[in-house]
Amino acid sequence: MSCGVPGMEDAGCLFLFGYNPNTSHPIVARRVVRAKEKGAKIIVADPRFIETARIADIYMPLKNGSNVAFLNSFAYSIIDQGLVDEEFVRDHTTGYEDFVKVVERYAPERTKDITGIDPAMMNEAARMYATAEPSSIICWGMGVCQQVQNVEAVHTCAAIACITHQIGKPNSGVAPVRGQNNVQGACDMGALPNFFPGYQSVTNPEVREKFAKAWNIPVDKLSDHVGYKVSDIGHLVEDGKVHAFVNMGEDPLQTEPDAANLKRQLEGLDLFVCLDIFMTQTCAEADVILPATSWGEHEGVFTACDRTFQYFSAAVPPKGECRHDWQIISDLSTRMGYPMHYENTKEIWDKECRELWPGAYGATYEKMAGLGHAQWPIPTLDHPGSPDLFLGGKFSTPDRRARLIAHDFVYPTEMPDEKYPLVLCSVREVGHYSCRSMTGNCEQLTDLADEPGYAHIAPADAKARGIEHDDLIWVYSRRGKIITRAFVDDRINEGAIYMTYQWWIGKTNDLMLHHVDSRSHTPEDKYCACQVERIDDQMWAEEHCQELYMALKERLFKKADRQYVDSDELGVPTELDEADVTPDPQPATA
Amino acid sequence: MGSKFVIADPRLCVGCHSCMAACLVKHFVPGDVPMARLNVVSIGNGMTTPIVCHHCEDAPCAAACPTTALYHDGDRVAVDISRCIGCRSCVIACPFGAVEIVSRQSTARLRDVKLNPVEESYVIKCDRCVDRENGPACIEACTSHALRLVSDADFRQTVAAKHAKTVESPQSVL
Amino acid sequence: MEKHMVVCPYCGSGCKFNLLVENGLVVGSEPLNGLTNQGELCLKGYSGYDFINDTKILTPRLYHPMMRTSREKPLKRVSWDTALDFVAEKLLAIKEKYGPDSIYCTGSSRGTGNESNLVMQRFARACIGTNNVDNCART
Repeated sequence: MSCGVPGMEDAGCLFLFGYNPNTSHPIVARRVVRAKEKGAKIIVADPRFIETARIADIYMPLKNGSNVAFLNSFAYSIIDQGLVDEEFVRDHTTGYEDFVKVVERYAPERTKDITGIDPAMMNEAARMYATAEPSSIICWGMGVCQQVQNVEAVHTCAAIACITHQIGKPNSGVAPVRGQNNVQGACDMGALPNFFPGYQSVTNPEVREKFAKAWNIPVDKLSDHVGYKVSDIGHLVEDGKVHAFVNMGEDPLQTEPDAANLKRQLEGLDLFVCLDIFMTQTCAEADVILPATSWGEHEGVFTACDRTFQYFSAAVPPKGECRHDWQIISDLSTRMGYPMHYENTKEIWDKECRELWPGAYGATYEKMAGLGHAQWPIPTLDHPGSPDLFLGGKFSTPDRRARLIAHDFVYPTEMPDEKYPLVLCSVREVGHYSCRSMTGNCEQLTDLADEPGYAHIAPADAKARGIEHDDLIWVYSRRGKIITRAFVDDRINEGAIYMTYQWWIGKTNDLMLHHVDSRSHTPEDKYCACQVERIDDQMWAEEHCQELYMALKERLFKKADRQYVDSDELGVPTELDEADVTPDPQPATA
Repeated sequence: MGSKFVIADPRLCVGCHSCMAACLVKHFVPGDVPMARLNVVSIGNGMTTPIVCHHCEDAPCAAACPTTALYHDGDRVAVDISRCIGCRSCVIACPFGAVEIVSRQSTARLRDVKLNPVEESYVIKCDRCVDRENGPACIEACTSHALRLVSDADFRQTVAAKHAKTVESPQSVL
Repeated sequence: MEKHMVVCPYCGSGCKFNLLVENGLVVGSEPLNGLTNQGELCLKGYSGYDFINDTKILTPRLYHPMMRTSREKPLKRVSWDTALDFVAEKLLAIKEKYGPDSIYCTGSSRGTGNESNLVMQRFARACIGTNNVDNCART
């Protein structure tokens, strides 16, 4: 984000594009309400009438999968109405002419059948965004990122902010609001195939030199080329390129698209190691399971979506033989002949982050104590941190100028057809998180929402299929078929259904298409074709659903019970078979 | 004295369901039913708001209840779930849709012997958290301050404001 | 009752709150006046803590290292030494046979924290010699 979360409420206009803060970030959603109270204009562009649309000045019901056509037209409207800040474009950007050459083909009149947006509304929204004082912010979420043209849409969003000078000043610019609590942090810390910590490129020889020196290894030991992306792991295993997978704290068999196929592909690994806190569906397939401490049992630093480092402490001691993730990996590395030793997380933070990433040097544990925080860039000990990036129009390119890029529109990969006439879009559950291994084990959150979840469907689409609210239904695509419950919802556009990806029985990712874009390799989780069908025998369906849920739980509990089976003769089959470790029937509740 | 109840401002509600979670937590105690007593409802393109009991002074739910599972307790309509027989008269009587009947399986026990599970019905309705130190849990949990407790004093204020407005522009009521 | 300050492990808002601990169990949460949350929490912040206590609602916690030496055999509990030596040996053999890029590591964008990611990426780059390290940012 080029601005801080608190600053959102002081912007003059918030343009929410493919971002539903009310379910993904309720605490950010409250800033949107507050901005509105302070007089900000709110524009919402989303195929669903999301909660924020209620308080929007303009709600733009764009069609699923039309982002780049929409943004090109938005840019066209800005240029056409003479709203470009020519001085800012001249002094702080490059590539404006080429940008115009692309977007000039996207007059709102010409795209209205693709986007579903009336040209007058497009012009009004463009004017509202471009002229807002003191600043506008474009906020987006997975509605932009999980599309086939994700990078393209991000380029265009950034360009729109630049040509209107709605970036490079306080509380302005672009706000891709990160979904997971530490996705910003994992990227900051170099858990990316192209960057060392602090976005220092792995292909830069000087950077490699610096890290080799710090890590005490000859520079030629460091790989000079960008690594693979984790979203390709299935194909990489299938093609014999990857033979071992060390997976820390992720559950790809729940969170990656076309999960059933991925499971088959991962069987081709020579070694599959999981570090986790729960027996997830992914752990159940592992060769080695290393139990890690959970949040609440370890300390460290998270990075919030607006680049704010914050320290968190441990509340309870580790359970069983659990070790911290960093201890496990350091120990493993040492056993492999490359010793790594750290006393605590502070030592890791100081040595591996602050010393090696100049932009984070000022983010000390002392500064983050209590309610303290440090927002990068924070290069020196006395630096206050940086809620806003690119102030004064100075961008992080070599010539400090923003590069304006536009792209032609491309349709989504799998368009609806006669057999699969509906668009399936994967969205988020407000009371559950990610693969649900954590929130699914929280009693109250489970009481509020549990399997098989819901597919939100427009009343007309439901009626055409004889589906009533709360009916159990089949949803199927070219990848699979799952059972879920219908939520007949008059805020949903016709021709599309929306399912949250948290459910293990109503598993959206058994249906989603595994297609990644060529640049960021992000799956196209917002768009594939599907069909929905009512289940005639609802009684049977209820039972079937329960049976599936129980069977899945039982399978995982049995797997986890193996941790209580001691064995001196490892690998020698014992008389102990699965039946012997069946857990006791559900204990009666008092 | 008039009753007090929880009311929501739909303009502020962000539909995050935090109030429901807080309500459920409050009732997450042995002998109670862990369910939210208010429901966030979204209707059409304009309304999202929690629906919650108004604790009516002349409460039709309490009048309809044959077993006094719902009864007047000072300025609120109180609930005694143990007396509920699940007849749903209150559900029909309530004009707000703020009363629910749920069925739960419970396992009766005779010393150590588990008897067959039986289906039991309970009335689920806001108790205004009178037994809670800081007042209604939902109000405390609301992330956008959309919920508040209203009482007679608030109504007097509202009416006074309306009076003032009417005096200022009498044509508005003509 | 003990109180321990944490940052929420769910969305990216970065809300601060206290975990309330009684007899080694996390029993509640209490919002703090953090930069983004200003004393507010959503339902996940209020009610999303008890998985730490191993409630066994959806799936159980892992307490001990487990492994299997072939896919036909069931998992068995082993010591940390056995498990880590096995992994080390296998990884070295795979690296020897197919090269460092045949090994894939993930960091985590969830509750593990920045430090675990720092250590994981150093392990992938310096110990194994690959840039095959990533996180689930895309899902």
